Amino acid sequence: MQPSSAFTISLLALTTALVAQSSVVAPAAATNDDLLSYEWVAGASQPLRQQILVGQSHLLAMLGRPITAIELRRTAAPEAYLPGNANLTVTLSTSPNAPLGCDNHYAGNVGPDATQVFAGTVSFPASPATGVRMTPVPWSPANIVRIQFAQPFVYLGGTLCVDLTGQPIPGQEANWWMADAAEEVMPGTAAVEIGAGCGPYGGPQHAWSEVAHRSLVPGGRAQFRAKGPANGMALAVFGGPAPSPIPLGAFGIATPNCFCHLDPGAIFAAVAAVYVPETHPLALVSAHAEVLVPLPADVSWFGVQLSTQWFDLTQLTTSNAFTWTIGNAIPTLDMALNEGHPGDAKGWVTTYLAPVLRFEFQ
Amino acid sequence: MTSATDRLREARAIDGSAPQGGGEGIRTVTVASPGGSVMVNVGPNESSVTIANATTGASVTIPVAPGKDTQIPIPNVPGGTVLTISIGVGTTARIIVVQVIAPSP
Repeated sequence: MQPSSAFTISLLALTTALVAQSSVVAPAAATNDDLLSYEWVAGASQPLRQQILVGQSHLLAMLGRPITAIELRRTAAPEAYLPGNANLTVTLSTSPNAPLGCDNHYAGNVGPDATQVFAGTVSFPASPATGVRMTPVPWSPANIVRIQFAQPFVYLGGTLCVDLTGQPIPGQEANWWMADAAEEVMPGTAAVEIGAGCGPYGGPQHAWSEVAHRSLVPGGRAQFRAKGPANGMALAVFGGPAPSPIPLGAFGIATPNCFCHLDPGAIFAAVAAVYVPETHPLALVSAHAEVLVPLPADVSWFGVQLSTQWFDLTQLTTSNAFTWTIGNAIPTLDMALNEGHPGDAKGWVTTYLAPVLRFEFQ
Repeated sequence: MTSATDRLREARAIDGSAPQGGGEGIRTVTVASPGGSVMVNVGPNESSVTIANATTGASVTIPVAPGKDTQIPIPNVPGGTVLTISIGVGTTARIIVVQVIAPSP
């Protein structure tokens, strides 16, 4: 071999090494192991938008480097996943929010440097059964959905917002193809019924309101829902419990068998909400009202208890009432997931649950 | 006019054999025993699952378990009762149907 040829080959090898692909997995614990939970994937079966916020603590290895692809790995489960395809767009940006402060409005999480890095069809591979949950699943082609970017995105630090919008392709749905997800189990959340409701909703017990007690996480949004007539209005009232039920007649409201279970002298807030009609063909309820209460990410809120009861302004009825307890820990995942329908302006946020992502960078 | 129960029975028949509902984002078996329980797999990040009786309208909401596979108790209701299992509301509502089968005498 001529010396100049040897030099050329060496130079090529060096160049190749310099632009070699590296990867980082968020969270790092998922690099070689399957984690506790799973998440569906945008477009695998339904139209879905998923904004995944990834804190800088997971991404230091690729600071200043161009991200060229992301991958989702199937969750471990002793069942085969069927193949499919979906149309997907992916936009990356530097979010103005840390994961713990994830906005439920999609627009609020997108940074000014938003760049669409992919738009096209992604494939879900036929994936053979693996071991049971939390047994390792390799990052091999049969286990991953790979999204190769058309345009790299240079990660300059901060919270990375990975914004996925997926649409199923009729006849090509993968359906139950679940990606691995990290989940922190948050202790201390609870909800206890303290009184029955009245009116036509909620069955024989008139239990027409609820709190999602896993939403009672400091730094998250407590989620309260009530069933009622489409486009009617209700008040969600927050305060302390009454020593004994108070007939609504005591307030001049002539609705028999309806009781207030909150102490009128200990009402902290009342929030009005409209019942939004349900459109799902199998829905049994005509409409739901929802109130979200931001819970501060501060230790002073650990274990705080409040009671809630809804008052239906259309029917002059009261819901069941319950006392709820805020959890006693703040998520440390440093990731968040905001997901929902692509046509909506906002989604549902979890700061204790997010899909595992593998970033490939140069 | 078709009753809600008839409509749900028809939907259950269309869904086919267990496990149903993979395309809906949640799934479980199609039939259950009164007083028993069923495992519900939850794809989205919703934090609760609701089981409702199509006849009475009674419903119970249960937190999604850590790891998202959630055991849901089936109420002691007569055989033939149709139940819905749902997550989310509005555009994010995902609903599947389970029929309660009375145990053989």
